Amino acid sequence: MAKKIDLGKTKFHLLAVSVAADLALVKKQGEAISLEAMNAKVLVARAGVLALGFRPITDFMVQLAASTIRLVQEIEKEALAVSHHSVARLRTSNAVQMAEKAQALAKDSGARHRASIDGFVASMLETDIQTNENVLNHTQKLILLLEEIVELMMAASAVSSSARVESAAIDVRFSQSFQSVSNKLEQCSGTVREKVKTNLAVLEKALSVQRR
Amino acid sequence: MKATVIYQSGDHQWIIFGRDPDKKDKIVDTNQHMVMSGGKAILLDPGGIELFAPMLAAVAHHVPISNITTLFASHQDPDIISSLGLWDQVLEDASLYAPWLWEGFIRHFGCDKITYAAIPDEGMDIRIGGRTLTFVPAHYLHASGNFSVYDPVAKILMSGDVGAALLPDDAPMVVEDFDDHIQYMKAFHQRWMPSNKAKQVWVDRVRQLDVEMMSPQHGAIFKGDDVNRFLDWFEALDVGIAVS
Repeated sequence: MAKKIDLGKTKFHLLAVSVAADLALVKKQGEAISLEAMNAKVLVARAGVLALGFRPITDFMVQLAASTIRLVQEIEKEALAVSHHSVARLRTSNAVQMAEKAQALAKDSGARHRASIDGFVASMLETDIQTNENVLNHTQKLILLLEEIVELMMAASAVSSSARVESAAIDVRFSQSFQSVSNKLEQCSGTVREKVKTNLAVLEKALSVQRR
Repeated sequence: MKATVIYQSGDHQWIIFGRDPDKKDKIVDTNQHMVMSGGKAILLDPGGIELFAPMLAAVAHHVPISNITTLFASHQDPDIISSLGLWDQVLEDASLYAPWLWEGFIRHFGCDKITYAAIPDEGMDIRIGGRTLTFVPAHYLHASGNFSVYDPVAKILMSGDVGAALLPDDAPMVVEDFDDHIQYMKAFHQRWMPSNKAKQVWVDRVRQLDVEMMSPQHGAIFKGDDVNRFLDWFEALDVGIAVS
């Protein structure tokens, strides 16, 4: 959804909620990793000494799932903040536009008290700039959170490789099950990375357009 | 936007802003009123978002914007008060007087800096500079929480949608031929006003006041005998016709 937005006319309040909606899938992947981690823990318990090497991997998967879900929740919160500040920006920009129009009309028609408009137009412009800064700052925070997820998933990918090696060394009765856990971890990590990277690209481009 | 001074005595003034030549065709024409006294000003039904810029520029001809201390909204309609979010960013320390009933709704237009002063159902008096204005109940005419504004010194009643007429763009500001004027207001009152009982209560209430000018939010001003002509006409009119 986020990919279709015309960046020349980016409306951050729409973009942010679209990113948040898109990342609902990431949360699902986090929950899937969590389930796989539980599954792996059961397998480790059943395999006992035969799967000792897999124990730190399951611990990592539990942490990974919790971190992913926590980050998605933070992203939702930050996306809401971007949306909120963006709507405030729309309002301040609109007010500045209207006030500048009134300023021009008052000047053209020689309004006696036109100077009384000038004062608050200047202060409205300051508010508008500050509101825009708020949008940009929260968008930057959103980007950092997304980057954090990407890093997390790159670590997950590395761990899934180790997990595959480890599962090959496990007793043949358990090897296939551990292999399956490793594959699912790699699959989840890949899906999340792809989804997050797409949204990151959209946000980064929108941010650079807005900063210009 | 055209500004017409309809009353002046010392620093006590009533001005109507309306007949905006740049108004978009499909937007209904509105009259915005400003009452000034003692260096303070109140805007009565300051209008919609679309009119904000010309309205602000027009007001600056008469008063420094910082002198606008008060806004009044007779009810919650967008042509009455959808500009609130913009006034909110322009005015410092201002209050909006509006029906208590509509507070949660009107705030949707944006009301962060402006103080919402809720008018109780029975109405109230406020002071603007050295003058008193009375908010006269006009409930169900047409909104379920609705007020007219009466100035006992200027003897002007700002009647909101009561007396409104949908006139051609070049129509005069004052009703010149009452009988001819009926064609522009009859359907409006029959359809917009929902209750004969509410209508009668308002007519009885207004008959108790000394009104020399009745100025609605759309259309033209009724002066002198035309005020009573209007009250008689309105009293006899069957309203709320859409249900029959």
